[in-house]
Amino acid sequence: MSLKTLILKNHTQLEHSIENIIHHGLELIRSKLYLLNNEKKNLIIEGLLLRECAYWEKFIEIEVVYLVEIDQNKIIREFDLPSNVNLNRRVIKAMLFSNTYKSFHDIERSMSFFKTYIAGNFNLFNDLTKDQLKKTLMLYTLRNYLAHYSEFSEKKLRQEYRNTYGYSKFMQPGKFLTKDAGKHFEGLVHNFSLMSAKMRSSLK
Amino acid sequence: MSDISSELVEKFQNKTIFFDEPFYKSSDSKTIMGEVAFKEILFIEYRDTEAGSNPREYIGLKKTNLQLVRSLLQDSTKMFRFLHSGMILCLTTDPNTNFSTDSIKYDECCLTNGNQTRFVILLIALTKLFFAQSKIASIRQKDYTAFIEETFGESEAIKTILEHLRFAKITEFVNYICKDKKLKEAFDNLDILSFLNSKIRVQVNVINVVIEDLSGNLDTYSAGTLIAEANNDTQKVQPDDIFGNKYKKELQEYLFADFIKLYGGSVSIEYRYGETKEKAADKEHILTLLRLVIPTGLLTKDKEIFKLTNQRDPVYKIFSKLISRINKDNEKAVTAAAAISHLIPLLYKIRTEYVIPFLENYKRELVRNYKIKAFAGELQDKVIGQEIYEAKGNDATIERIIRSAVNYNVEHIMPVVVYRIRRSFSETDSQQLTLTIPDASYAQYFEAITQAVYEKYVNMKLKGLPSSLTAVVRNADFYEFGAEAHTAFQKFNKQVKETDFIERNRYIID
Repeated sequence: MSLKTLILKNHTQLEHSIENIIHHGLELIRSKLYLLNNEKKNLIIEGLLLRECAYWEKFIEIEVVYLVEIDQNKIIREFDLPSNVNLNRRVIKAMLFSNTYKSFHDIERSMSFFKTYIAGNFNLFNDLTKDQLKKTLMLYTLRNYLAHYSEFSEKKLRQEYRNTYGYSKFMQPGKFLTKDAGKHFEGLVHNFSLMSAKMRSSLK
Repeated sequence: MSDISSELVEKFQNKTIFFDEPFYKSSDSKTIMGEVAFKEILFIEYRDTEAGSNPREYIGLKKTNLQLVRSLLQDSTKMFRFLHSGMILCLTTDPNTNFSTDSIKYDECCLTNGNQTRFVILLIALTKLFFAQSKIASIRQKDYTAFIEETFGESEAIKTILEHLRFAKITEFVNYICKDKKLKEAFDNLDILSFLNSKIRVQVNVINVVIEDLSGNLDTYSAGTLIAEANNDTQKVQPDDIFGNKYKKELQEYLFADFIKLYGGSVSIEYRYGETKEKAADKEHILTLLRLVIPTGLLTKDKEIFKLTNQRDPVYKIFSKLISRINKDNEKAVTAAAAISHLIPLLYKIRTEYVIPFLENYKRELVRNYKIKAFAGELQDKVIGQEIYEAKGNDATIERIIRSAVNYNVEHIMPVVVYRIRRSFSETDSQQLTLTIPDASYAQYFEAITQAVYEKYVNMKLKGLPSSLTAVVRNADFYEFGAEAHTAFQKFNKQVKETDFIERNRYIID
């Protein structure tokens, strides 16, 4: 299977899993089952959001490796390797991640990393719009609050609610995500699919 | 101002019309002519009274009503009554006991002609009472509602009339006055007392006396409505209002009988637009219910079904003919009406519980899918390709373009769904109508059919329509959209049998 095909497969898998998550989420929000009160719905929707972030992170991790592999000039130059060397995927992965955890979910912060290792033509992250990046930031603010429940993460979320949506009142993420028939949940999660679509359009 | 309001409330509660001078009364007491002050006619009912029902609703500040506003604000006291042809009222009363030389006490009264004039006069009076000594300025709904409650809250009958004058019409009026310096000045300087005492000519038909000499079964309601319809014939009256107004009784008795039995407690039928005050979810207009029957082919030849998609007038014509034949005791028409009465609640259930919710959910899914395609550059060959390109990745713009492309009209899709199931109706032993599709498979079946129709509908729009959308949805080909899904479902569910319910009850209206 060619690398381009693998990259596209990575994208379609992500988009498919996102659609599934949205589908389940909206079905849950619409559900009138007596046992599923709002509190339970909010908890489950928060869980779906966390799962979605995990899918996204896995997607990026695979994507970065593929994009470095497809044109190896930059990584070879960066590591000062002989120009005729051909690195296999496992080696590239080892070189990029070493034995540490690297997170690329904050695309804007990771841009310099991408620029260092991914050849210009294949740096699909360059085409993402500001609006898309902003939405990712909002989603990760929710995710961080859910993961930590710290004062700092709450403060950040409060700020994002105010700056992005003009909400002065703090809401638990579940309540925010299920609001207006799941409008925010759908919009924020689907943003990952739109980013993926935008990226793969540059691959053609 | 509160004295004026109290006088208006009291006046209306007394059900008496006072004339400025002794009026003309014909020797048979059927006709009365004279002049009354505006305050006498402000709150007279116009819908569904024993003295008839006026089919014409207030249409807002259209051309003639704007002229009325100008004329009334410029000079309501001296010239207006000569510029205006007057009003017609129909009322029921006992002329022997309730007439004096200058007043009539009535039991029921209907404003048969002149409803637009009345509403314009009412608009001016209400806003003037609202602003009192203050100058006219923009108005908040909260304040207006509080004012109405405080001023007229004790009179349910007045509140009923005021409910037909929606807040949007009040703001339309206020905005119109505020942007015209001369009118604004005239309004601010208007003396409300002189205005309310300005005169208008009226003709009064004492409808219970009128029908005394008539042969046939014309009651006061029918006679009053006949006069109202004849007098409004040259005006722009909604065909919906004329039909609903005229056949309410027959619709309730024959065509909607089962629906009322099943849904009467939760869904009210709207015979005229704006008639009921329930939320949209709790009411259905007659046209929505009647249209459901057309694609079954019970009243029309198959080839006529397609042409009737999303039609209004022809649908009313078909049902008018059916009702007139029911009224003539045509046996086949009565049988068809009974079948229709069984069909409507079942089709309504399919529409509200399966088709509409699925369309709404699926629309969201389609918006998501097409947005992905847009961002992936996969819509270039579609009619919206150029627009998407020009949106340059702007999420909101792209969403707007996609939404408009995947938008649907349920009146385009529902007939195709009904057309598909027209041979699947069966009657239970207790004469309940059901489908041969197993109950447990309803959701699956209607989801499959609706999805097939909707997907093709959107694809067709995106490829570019050969003619207008209306022409396309009235074509026989469009009705074939769900055929494959239906056949596939039948293959997997052998027990789904075809029935002759429609054939047995068919009554073709030419």
